[in-house]
Amino acid sequence: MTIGEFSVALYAIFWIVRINGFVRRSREPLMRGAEWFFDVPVPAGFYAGAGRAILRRYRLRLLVPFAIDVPIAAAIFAWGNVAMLNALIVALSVAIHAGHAIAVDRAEREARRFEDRHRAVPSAGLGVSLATRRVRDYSHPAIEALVALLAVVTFAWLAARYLGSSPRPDAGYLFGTPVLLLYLQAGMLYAKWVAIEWRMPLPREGAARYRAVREIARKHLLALIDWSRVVAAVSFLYWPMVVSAAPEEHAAVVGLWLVLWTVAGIGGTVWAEIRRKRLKAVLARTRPVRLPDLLGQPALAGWLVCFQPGIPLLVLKGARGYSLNIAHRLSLLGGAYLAGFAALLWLIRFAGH
Amino acid sequence: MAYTYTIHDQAEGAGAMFLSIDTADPRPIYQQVADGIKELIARGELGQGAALPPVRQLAADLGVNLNTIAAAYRELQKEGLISIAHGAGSVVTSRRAVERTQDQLLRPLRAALTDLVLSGLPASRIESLVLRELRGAGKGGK
Repeated sequence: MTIGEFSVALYAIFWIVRINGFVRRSREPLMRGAEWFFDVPVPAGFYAGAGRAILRRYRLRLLVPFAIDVPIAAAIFAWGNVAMLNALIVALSVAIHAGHAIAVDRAEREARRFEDRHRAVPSAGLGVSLATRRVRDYSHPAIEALVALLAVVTFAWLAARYLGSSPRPDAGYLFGTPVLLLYLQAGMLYAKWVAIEWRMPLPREGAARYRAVREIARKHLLALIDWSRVVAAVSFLYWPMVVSAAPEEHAAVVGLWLVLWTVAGIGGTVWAEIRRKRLKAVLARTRPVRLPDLLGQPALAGWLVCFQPGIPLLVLKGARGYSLNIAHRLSLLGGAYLAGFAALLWLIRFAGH
Repeated sequence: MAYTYTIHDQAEGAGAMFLSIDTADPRPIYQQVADGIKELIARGELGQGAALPPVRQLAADLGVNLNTIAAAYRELQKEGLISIAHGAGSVVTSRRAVERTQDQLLRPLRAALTDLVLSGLPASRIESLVLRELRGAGKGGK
């Protein structure tokens, strides 16, 4: 298997997974039955009337990433640089999740105009858990040790190769790929931090039950991130194995790794899908409750972004949709991470020349 | 890290402590937070050495300004119930608030009793309510 074949295979798998994801997401409004539209209680016959158009618009919004993807993928294939498909997959993954969150928010806003007021239960107050949430509370020592060990082994292996070669190989070429993988590992750790810090407002009534369900959802996401971290950590070994291989073995080593990644990708996707289905069943057990907004977020949140240093919310719900609080430390860190990533790519490219 | 999908309501309810914020309560939110933590300390549910969540986490979960929770923690610190160490978080230090005169302590009780009387409740009902609250609040006492 070559890198190009791997990219095309990955893109094909991505399409299959996306179709499954689209079908699943398009059914989500009816997750609690025909008397609900997501978390909005709706009157009987809603889906035969106004609800039909709202549902159709919601589903059309889910198709936007497909509309973006097709021409770009066609251009990549026409250009012949199929390795670019990997970057397209990453960009589309972000677009799909962000687009889904926006589509849900919009659809719920539209459906709220038809809300069944007798069944809508606004909570009289908020409950909040006093349990602390730190990264170490959600970290498995064995996983952290494995990630650290693989990173150390990789850099030690490459350092030994660098120091033991005469003439010395180009350091940028030798260390560029593992440094990039290490940086991606840090990015996944950042994602984990965001998932742990994600706020958990609870209704005052039945706070313990709601907390239990939301913690399960949080741990589901963290399990996915940790799985990705382990795969990425094992991938540290790819580069030293490739550069140490004899020229005649080079293609076989690369091919073996590409097969391994494909198997890990398919296995991980199936595992995640099974867990997601179980999670959905658990989430459906709690009745949605509208929580009071103590801040008055619509007045504070601008369109897409806002700057609120005193507000510890990463995302605010504004009058027109979600708004990223760019004064939040996680926003600042995320921005710095992306800038660092761009700089690192440039450096590796520069060093490669 | 236990990635389980089973909901253990009893275990979760027993292990986790909760604060309640009532939107209809005339007390400011910081006061409700401080009073809620005081109540948990008085009942012995938050023992000496128990860590409180960081200001940022509590403020985010409630969806309030950072200063609101910081004010609540400062009040608890002023009363000698918690200690705040930058970087180490906030910890319950004592079950006893700083010394106050009997008159200072009785003032809020008098105000609450006045409200109950003015609400038209009979004295016997007020007495039973006070005793019930006292039993609840004194749970953690020696």
